[in-house]
Amino acid sequence: MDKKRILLVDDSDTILVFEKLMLGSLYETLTAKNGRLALETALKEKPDLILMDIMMPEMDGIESLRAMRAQETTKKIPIIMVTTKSEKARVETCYKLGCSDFINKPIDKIELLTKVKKFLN
Amino acid sequence: MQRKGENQKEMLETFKMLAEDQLLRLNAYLMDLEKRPMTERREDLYRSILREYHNIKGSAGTVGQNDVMELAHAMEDILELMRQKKLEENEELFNLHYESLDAISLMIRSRLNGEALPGDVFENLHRRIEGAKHEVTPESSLLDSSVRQPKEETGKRHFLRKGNRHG
Repeated sequence: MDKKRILLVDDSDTILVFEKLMLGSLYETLTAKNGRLALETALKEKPDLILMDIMMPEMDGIESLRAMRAQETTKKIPIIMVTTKSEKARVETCYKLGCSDFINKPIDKIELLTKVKKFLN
Repeated sequence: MQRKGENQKEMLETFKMLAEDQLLRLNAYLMDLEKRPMTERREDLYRSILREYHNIKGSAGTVGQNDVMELAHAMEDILELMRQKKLEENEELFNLHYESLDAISLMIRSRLNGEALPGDVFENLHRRIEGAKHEVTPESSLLDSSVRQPKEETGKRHFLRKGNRHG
């Protein structure tokens, strides 16, 4: 069976590599380094799930989430937002905009796999 | 599938390799900021520096380098106070940033090489960070400092500032 595809969105190369290492053996991964590229990739590739950071240059995760939820192609894709404990207010905004779940940095591998599995299996 | 230990080791190596690049970028941004650029460029630099500290904090925590995470977090706070003009941009604060970058680099290398950390350096840094936070000033008293002319290089020497790379 084909592996499910996850779009990883973060401006940090380190975090993208970490996420690939955590998920790569179980899922196919795509990457984007800001919200605008994430939107373009999501529209083109239609991933099964999106894991997206909030604080990014050009277009942040919140604006990208808003744009994805407004597009027919991407509005039903599960989106897990990656955030920090200091971004509580933004988490609320993300839920209002229709994010599926969120995960805190530093990312815990077990928590990440559990949340991803919830939407993909 | 990779075993857990192999995965962790790969993550640590990745962290070390990419953190070096992040620290060099941070150093370059701070040096630009120290030249007191005009408003728009200043905001761009603050956003870039905050993002780099934020990313180091997040990735350090993911690989269990909690002391690096805490120092990056503390410096992110100091920078945010500078951005909001609650702390005056001065040589002492910039030196605190440069020395923190050196300390972060040292912490990462020492950890990976199994070497002991020189505790007094970090005690000194943390004491100065706490001291800086107590210097927070109402914005109004710093208005004049925001329109000062670009200043000359101070000539202070820090490892990363000289453009060297840690091995």
